[in-house]
Amino acid sequence: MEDSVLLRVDNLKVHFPLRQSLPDIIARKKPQYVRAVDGVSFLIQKGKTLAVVGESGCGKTTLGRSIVRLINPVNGRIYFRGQDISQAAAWKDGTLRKEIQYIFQNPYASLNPKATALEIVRRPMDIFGLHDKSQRDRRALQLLGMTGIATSQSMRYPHEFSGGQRQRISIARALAVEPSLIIADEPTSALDVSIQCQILDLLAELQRQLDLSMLFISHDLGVVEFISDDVMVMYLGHVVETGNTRKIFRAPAHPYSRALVDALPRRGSSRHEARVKLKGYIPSPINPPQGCLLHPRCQFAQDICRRERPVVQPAGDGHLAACHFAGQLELGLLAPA
Amino acid sequence: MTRPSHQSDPYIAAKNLTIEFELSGGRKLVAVDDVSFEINRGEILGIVGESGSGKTILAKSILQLVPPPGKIEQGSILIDGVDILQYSDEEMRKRVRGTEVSMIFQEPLSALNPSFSVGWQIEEVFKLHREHDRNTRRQMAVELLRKVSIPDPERRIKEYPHQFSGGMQQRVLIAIALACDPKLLIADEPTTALDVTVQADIMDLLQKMREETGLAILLISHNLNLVAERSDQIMVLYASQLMEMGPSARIAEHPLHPYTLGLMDSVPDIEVEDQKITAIPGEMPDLTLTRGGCVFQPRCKKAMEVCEHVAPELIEVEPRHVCRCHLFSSEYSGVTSGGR
Repeated sequence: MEDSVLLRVDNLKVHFPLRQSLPDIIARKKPQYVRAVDGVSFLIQKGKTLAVVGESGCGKTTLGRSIVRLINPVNGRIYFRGQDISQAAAWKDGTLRKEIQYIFQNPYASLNPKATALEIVRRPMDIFGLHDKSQRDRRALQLLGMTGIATSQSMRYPHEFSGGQRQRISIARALAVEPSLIIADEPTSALDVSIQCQILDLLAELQRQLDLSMLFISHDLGVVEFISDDVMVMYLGHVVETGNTRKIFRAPAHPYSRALVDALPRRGSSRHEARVKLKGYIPSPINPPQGCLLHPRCQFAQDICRRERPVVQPAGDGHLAACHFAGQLELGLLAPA
Repeated sequence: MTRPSHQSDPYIAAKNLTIEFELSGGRKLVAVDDVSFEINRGEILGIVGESGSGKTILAKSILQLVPPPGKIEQGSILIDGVDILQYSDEEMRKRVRGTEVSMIFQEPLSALNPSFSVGWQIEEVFKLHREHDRNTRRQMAVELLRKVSIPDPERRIKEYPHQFSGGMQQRVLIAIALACDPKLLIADEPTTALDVTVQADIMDLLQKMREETGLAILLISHNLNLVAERSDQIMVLYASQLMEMGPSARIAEHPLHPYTLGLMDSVPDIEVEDQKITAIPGEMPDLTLTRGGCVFQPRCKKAMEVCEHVAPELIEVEPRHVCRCHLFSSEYSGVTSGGR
């Protein structure tokens, strides 16, 4: 069992200190923190995709970035193939950078505008000294071909490509070092729907071929359902529900997941009027609410929700939810299509 | 969902609208190619299309805000029987913009002025269009904010745009747009920058406005699901051309055009068990090149020989449901069934 786990994250916390004003410092006020990620734990199995969903500000991007140390985690442990990688020392020799690759949301901002597509994909191989020098160009062309960029286009610069093609180049670059884990942060949200679909197909196909594991960060539930095996729903830096993607989207156990699913526009006539809605707006992550994080916005909130923060517990059907009434709430099922 | 009954004469009717951009070297880009549509009072027309399909330019032409070097080459836009394309800029400002037709945009923060309070920006509309004293203006602005469900409007009206969340900013924009009781609201990707839960709230608000005041809405979005759920009619644009238009429920259940079908197959839908999404291969054509046949032919799975050479006309396949495809013309559709 343990052998099949590629990435394990234990109680990860990322807190950003707020800048204090001089009077506050003199008055020795306690520094305040934005609790972007506040105690998140999960596993990614080899060859599987875990998706992270949530609204903007829920900490999903911070989570992805802190795994590859683009942000230093404040607290918690991250294990990759059983090795603790939460300390800087583990990253020193660079092998981890080769194992874990990142695909960013905005493909234009993450490609060097002065390098050709070929150079962009070849560069990671140069850095890690992969293959013979003479072989690298051929390998880069092969990778570009795999992602759908023709050899005749490989001498072009990023600005000469469309958004979808740029994202293909980013994918080719990520694959150049033969990683075992890819963290993709909203890789398709800047693209048009017909292009988004091409990129999703490509990712799914490459994942099958290369037996890749993926942490897929997205706010789009439809995309997540297509690409992922498991899903983790985040709210205010906490995991509120996690488990099999299809099961959670069919029958969410947490009122927040239910609200997310209900808010999705549907083209069929199946939209049910008894939608679970959230009251008000997302609270500040500097002063999160006492008790259950969702209670000020939850229509089912009881006394206990205001007093005690629920822990993640089994909610039936193999998934976990952080709700005092997980699995007991009459959240209603989707109306038949 | 209840739909208002359709009146016989539409509030706004655009006919054969063609908008061209003159580029350097005498090349021309046709941004909107011979598009006609009508919107009744209290009706929502949704326009779906990918970026570059011409949906925003089409919307802006109603307010005569097509950016140069774009020009409306042909067509008419009738509001209550008067062609507003003949209006001068002055007349547009006095008679149309704000009072008949107004618009909200995708990025609420960039549409609001960061250096003035929200109240000031709402009151500015009254200053331009209505004659009231300061106190009345302030009162009316507070009422507007209440109408768009902003809590504690007396306090929030003094705040600045950056103090509002994205959803709240969009509500402020809706308040500004509705300040002078327009009959048509153009909503250009109003929720694209927002989270799904906020998107649903904003769309609920727009629908409430429509039901209460008989506001007509032109809803532009790249999200086919959103448009199908919220609008009465759908127009599908591709490469500047109207590909399909008809009642939303009809198109959602039974799309005709291969492009509409392709769009539907490429949007993941969580209601579908074991879904398979199929991409539309290729990308949009270069609009500056003139073409002989159907604009969608290079990407179309059902393309026939005729599609390469003859541009299809709009065909009324069933009442109020039109489609631009040879598959539905009596002249050519026989060719497919014959196997050639």
